[in-house]
Amino acid sequence: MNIELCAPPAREAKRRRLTRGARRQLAGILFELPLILGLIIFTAYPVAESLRLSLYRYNGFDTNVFNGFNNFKYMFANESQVKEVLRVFGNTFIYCFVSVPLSLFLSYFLAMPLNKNFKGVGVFRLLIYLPVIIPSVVSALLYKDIFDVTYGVMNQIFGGLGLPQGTFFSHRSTAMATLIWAGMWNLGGGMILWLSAFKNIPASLYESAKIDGANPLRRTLAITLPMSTPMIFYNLVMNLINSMQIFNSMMITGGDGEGPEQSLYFIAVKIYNEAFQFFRMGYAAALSWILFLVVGLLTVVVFATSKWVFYGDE
Amino acid sequence: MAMNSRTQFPIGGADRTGGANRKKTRKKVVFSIKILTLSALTLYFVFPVAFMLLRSVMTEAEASSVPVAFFPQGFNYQSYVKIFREDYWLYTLNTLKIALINIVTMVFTASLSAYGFARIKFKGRGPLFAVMLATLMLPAAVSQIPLYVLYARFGWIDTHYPFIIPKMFGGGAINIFLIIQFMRSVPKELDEAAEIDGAGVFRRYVQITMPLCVPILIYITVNIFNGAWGDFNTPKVFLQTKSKFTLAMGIYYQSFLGGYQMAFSNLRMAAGVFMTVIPAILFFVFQKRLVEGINIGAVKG
Repeated sequence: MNIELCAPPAREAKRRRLTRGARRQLAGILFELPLILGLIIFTAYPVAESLRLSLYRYNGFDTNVFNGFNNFKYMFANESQVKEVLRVFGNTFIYCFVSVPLSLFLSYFLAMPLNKNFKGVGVFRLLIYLPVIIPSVVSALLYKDIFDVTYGVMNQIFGGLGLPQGTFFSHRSTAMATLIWAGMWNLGGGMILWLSAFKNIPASLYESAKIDGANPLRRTLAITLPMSTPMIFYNLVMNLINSMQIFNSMMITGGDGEGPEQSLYFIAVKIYNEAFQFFRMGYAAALSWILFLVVGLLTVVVFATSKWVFYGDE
Repeated sequence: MAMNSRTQFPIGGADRTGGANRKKTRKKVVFSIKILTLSALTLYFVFPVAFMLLRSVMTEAEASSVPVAFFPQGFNYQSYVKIFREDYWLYTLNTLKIALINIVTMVFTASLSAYGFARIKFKGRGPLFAVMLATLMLPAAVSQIPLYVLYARFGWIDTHYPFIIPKMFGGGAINIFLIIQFMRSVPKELDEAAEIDGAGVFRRYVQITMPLCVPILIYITVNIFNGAWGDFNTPKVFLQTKSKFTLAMGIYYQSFLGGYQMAFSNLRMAAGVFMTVIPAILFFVFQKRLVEGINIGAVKG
């Protein structure tokens, strides 16, 4: 009885919703059309094609021969190639896993004293942020000049301080450390992130913690850090992915992009060299897929171990 | 740890009983030490910028003498004149052209697709969103090689098409993501009310929601500009002719390939200063919006 009474209006509503639903579906697809096309043409196709190419010997012009897994075998079995591949991945990992956590860590200590309101705090923030504004290609050139062994200013400063002269980018033993050090001029970026994160923490939390007698260290560990974990997580993920692909190092090394004894040779630069200098495009595609897998794995690991991220009310 | 003792007497009257003065002076000392440390740190961070500016106004003789002084002997703008003799105006025009087209097309298509995700409940929205986000972890190097082959077939090598056309489709996952995040704080009710009044979906997007998203659109506009302005990877792969170069590629070419022109660090630094001017202006003008945008993307995201 009840059902029958309800049926006609329900059916009518359903029909109306259906047409509206269809309209909505059409609108949704139209709004996403550029994105969908872009994903197909400029992402899905090249990714698949790159996988195919990795199984071919291809020089970009005429030679295009199926090669099985020889590209991968070459990568892992040819003695000099293994060495080079391990070196570029090693360099990339060192750069990535030192500079990303280090800058997050150091920028925290930069942000802490600037999180209070006192006269001139804005000026300090602004000036510390200044190097971040410089486009990264320019800062690479800048670091190259600052750390130039003969003409650079850093060795003069070292001399003035009574320190021995540094070799910086010109020797394999110091090139990587110099690059990471120079990158720390961009701590202002991390500082801004920490400051924003601090700002989002309700002051009431600190007040009640103070009343409970929690000391500053305790308040940092129990309130500031947990409440900042979404920011830390987002930046860890994005910066790890980005720094795995470091390419602007070519602005420092110039030429072959390898640096002294390949000490600044990164995987993205090697892929570029293989594809566009030596025209071993199949091999370069194979390398790029290895990079893809490594980055993917890294992302999965970071996400899988993200229990420490605190999303508040969500 | 110095502040520890204070927190041990959270409510007590210690302040009123004579400790007040001593506490005040101690606070002052701590504050001055802090300011001094901060000033030293700030000096360190300003150093590369100062270096670049000062080096750019040196003469070639100054820049190549050993040891090079930190401060120039005088203000010499010859290096700026010189870089513009080296086709810099052309590189600038090329880069500006690419950046401006990117801004128009990317802001449009990114906001379009963000609106679709945030306001239109269509089937397949979830999976599409997931795929889009997943592209964030796809290294550019993977698609680079097939795209090179594809663009070669299109006749796009050594043209600006690779910088412009692909950006018209989707406008970057990160930008879409940022706009969606921002739209969460824009009331849906306005949109729904307009729908009841019979406004079509495109009109609701243009007239109702987008005007409210201007803050985040400014943020991504600046990001898109800076991305195009400083991009080195794309021109390195796709450009060969000098007249097509962007600024980043021009500087690289002049520093390493062209050889002598930029052998002097005063010229390199002048080019660097020149390339920093627009991003710096953008930063100073939109400072507040940029910090807000960072907040939306990285902190709340």
